[in-house]
Amino acid sequence: MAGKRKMERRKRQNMTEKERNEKRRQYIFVIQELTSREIKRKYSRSYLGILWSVLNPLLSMTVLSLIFSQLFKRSIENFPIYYLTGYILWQMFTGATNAAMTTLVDNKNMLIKVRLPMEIFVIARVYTALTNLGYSGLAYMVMLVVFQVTPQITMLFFPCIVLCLLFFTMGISFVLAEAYVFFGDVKHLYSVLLTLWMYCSAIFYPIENLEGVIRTVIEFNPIYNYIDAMRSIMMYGVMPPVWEIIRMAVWAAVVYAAGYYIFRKNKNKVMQKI
Amino acid sequence: MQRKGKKWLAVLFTAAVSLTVVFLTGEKEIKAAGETASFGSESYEWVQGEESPIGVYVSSDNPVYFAEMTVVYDPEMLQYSSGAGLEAEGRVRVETGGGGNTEVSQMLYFIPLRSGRTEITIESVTVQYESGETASAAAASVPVTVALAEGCALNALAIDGEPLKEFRPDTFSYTLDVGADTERITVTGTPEADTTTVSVSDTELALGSNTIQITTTNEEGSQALYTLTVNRAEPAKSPPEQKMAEEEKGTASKAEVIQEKDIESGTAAEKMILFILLALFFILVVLLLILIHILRKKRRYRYRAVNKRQHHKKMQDLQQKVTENLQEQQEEHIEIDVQHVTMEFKREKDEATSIKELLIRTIKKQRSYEMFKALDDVSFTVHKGEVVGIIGTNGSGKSTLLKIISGVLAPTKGKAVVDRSKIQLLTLGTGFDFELTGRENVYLNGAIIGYTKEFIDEKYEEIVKFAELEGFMEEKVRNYSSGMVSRLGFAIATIRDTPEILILDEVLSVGDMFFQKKSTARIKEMMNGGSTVLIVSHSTSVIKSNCTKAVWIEKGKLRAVGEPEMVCEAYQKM
Repeated sequence: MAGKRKMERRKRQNMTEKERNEKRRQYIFVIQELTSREIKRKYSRSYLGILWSVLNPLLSMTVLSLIFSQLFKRSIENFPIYYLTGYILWQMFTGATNAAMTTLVDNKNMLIKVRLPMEIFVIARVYTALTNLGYSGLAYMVMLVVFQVTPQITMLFFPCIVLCLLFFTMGISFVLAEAYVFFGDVKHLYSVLLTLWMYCSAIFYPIENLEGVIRTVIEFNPIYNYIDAMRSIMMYGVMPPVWEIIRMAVWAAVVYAAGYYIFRKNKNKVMQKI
Repeated sequence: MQRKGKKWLAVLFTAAVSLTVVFLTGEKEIKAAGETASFGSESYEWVQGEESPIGVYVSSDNPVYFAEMTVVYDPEMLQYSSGAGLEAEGRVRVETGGGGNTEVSQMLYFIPLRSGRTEITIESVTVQYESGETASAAAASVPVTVALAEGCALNALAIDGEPLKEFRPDTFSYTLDVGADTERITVTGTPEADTTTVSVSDTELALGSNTIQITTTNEEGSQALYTLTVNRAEPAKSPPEQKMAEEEKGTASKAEVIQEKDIESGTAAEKMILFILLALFFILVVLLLILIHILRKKRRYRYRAVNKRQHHKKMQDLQQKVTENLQEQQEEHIEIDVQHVTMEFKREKDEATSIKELLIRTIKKQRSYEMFKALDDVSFTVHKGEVVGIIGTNGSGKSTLLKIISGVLAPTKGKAVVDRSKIQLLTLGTGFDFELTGRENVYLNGAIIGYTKEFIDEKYEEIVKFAELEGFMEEKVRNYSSGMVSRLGFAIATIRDTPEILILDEVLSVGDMFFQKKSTARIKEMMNGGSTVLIVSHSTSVIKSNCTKAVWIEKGKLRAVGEPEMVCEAYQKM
């Protein structure tokens, strides 16, 4: 009896190994469809549609440059690019986490009725933000040309930073999505936290102006890490120092692992609650 | 159970440790790269009234991107002319870009006002490198001598009538020590020329160091400045003087207090921020602790329950083994085996929906749970090829049962043995998005219920045709009628090849009469394909006409299993 069961299990394992690829492809397809839904939905009532993903960072760059480039004239060389670099990464992070937070609740029906892994919904929202980052990246590239930033070999490091940020974002998203199922308050709390976090990420001011505790806080801030690394490879053509790269990777790995672990652990509870 | 908890803590702990390690090792160091500030030459000799240049330099081992510094001079001796920005009288702010050189320089121009000796100092030098790192260099100063104008020199300097022995006309500063009881001295200077006037600043002496300035002015208006530093010794212990001294100390300490306050107001903001951050951190920690506490409690509760059940379970296991053996002998083709499935939901009596509420309740120990059994020890089997109808009133646990069978939910007790890869749950319009067009929804919905892109591409025309929605597919679903939506949902859901186990959750009453006929035919077709079917419905007629077996669940309990006719009759009589 026991032997028979073992055999069965082995058989099933073999089967899943064969089907695993197929399954993964199916999941990727689902993620693509969910993502395209998110994007279409976001711009479904606007005339310019997806163009807004490109325009948004540009407009916001213009506005902030108008005000702040005078203020930081002597400490930031190329304020619009300085700002835009931080802004698109920050947008990706907030966009992803904010959207992912509510995803389980929003997709309640699907979750209950369909046997899809819950992770897919979170990943789809994060992927949507990544796609948005792609469009913003277009605007960014145009601006690099406009402001005559010389192409550097270090710019090729760009995907690595985005990848780290992506995993970091995913980890946070997993936790938030789950927490939101149990407490709606998380949403409001998080929006406050995000404001604090934004000011601690030196998106539109030079960190050199700050000293003491607050500066230390900023330098420990993983988001600032990513932004800073991005700036140094895009604007100054310098690779970030080794410890910064290590720190970026470790942040990403730890947060992702922790987030995923928590997510897996509470899966069943979430299903019950929903 | 407890070991699991420890593991969890261990994971947390290691994460925290690794994070701190990263923090500590990652501190940004300011590397000294030999930043120095200096002047063009070791000393300067200038002529009164003539604009004179002085070069300030900042050099480093690395290419400098930007440098800034403050140049301090004595406004009584020198007048700042040009070269950089005047910050305040006596302070010049120099900011200069390095352009990648290792040395940055700037020329400043001063006009000496008087003859004498003075100093120019470079202070608070900050160097910024291209990497954005900044470093500071030590201050540096240089002596400046302004040559004597004609007739401005003193021939002799007398203090209280006695000539100063070490006096020389081209030495401009002197030091003198006097006793504690000297409150005033008389300073007289003898000028070189008769037409030169000599003026002496206040000669009243305070305790400690006093500076007396002796200014000479010749007929052309040129001036020279001699300074005499007089050190008055600490007082002997005579009462009035002590009082004075105390008074002085009072003012001095007052000044200190003011200074301290200045510094404090600078750091106050910082402290405030630190405080806020600490508070936030504290709140987070408290929340975490509460969470852990809650989790632990739950575990303990379960642990106890498990213990209690252990004995009972052993007996049950034995029994089960016997029955399983029996069953295996008797029935080879069991497709779905639901064994003693119990599903408990922990329902809080008026559930806390905010953290605040939860906190208050936890503290007051007012959190009362109510175990709500959605399913209570339900067991039945379904054989291959059977069409089983599940009936029951609303909220009797039918949908929960389906979720357990399809693997969406895990039961609290018992198990449902079934090959989950064979199951297809037929649901209508899952994930329909009303802002998208019909076409987009076909792909979205298809993807969600497990179709590949190729499959949808291939079957797209067929779906549209079956749903009778030709010409509406580019329209947004928002503008569809409800019938159209369910038709499309049905078409997508049933286009697939017949699965081995099919679960239908209230899908048999879709659309108008004509479409209902069509859909029933489609379902029948699928059923006759030899697959095992589970149907959930309120309608006894649907079950009577389609099923070979019926299961009646009422309030989580299994009431009857058997012939559809009989079960439905019992259900209706209730």
